[in-house]
Amino acid sequence: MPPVKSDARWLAEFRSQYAAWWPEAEPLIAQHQYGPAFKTYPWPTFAETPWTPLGKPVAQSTVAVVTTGGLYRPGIDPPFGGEAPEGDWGFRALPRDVDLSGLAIGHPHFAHEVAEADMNTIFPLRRLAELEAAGVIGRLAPTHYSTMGYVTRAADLAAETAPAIAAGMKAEGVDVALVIPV
Amino acid sequence: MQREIEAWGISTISLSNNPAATARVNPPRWVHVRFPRGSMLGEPGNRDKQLAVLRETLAALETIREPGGHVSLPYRWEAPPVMWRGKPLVEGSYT
Repeated sequence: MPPVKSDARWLAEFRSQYAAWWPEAEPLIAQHQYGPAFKTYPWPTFAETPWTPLGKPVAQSTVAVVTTGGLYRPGIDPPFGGEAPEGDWGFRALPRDVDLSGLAIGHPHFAHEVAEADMNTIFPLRRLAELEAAGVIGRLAPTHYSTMGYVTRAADLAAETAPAIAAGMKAEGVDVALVIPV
Repeated sequence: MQREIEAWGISTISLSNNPAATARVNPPRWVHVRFPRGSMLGEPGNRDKQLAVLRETLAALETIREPGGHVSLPYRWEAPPVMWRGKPLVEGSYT
């Protein structure tokens, strides 16, 4: 498993707070009482942030996208466990030429009508391909990524999924990542 | 997610329609968009607006010089409200 390269000191404290939160939240989430359940959630907060200066102009950079829309290819990728009480912190890697209208949305906690009408509204690969052709970006990366935005286990997302996606991007020479939460 | 990718030596920027929540996790660079949850790039089929949001987001990668910096885009939602659990989603509504 790829290592965590961002400051990981928060993970232990979060896991401890999460272990205290979950027994109280679980029955509320089972009844879809998300407001009361998340009122006491140990939201991670950060005073500092990592920083990688842009190494070259965007017009010469390789760009990759991460969406949290829970997108996957039915029949090829396993669906997300969107209805699981603690969510699903896995990810799916999607090729740049994927048929956007054939993607399924495995994230049950947002209104799908806009994305179903035009997946570019949460995963703009066709628009970015047009910007590649126009020379606005250097190259659209071969692979892009989707997670599913309903995840209570933030530490597992940060310690397992985020480094795996970052390592995949590095392997393809990605310079710039566009992150689109849904 | 964004913080980890940045720590791997990749410059990152995100879209946010929820500035309070985004400021809490303090991502390296972000762009505030005034669209309802479920559409971070504007109305379906509005190619020109989607391209404008992307062009300005990519430009912000070159203009944001301070960690945690952000810019706000002026674009508004120009279609009937998106309904979620029987209520219209408005700017800043997240759940």
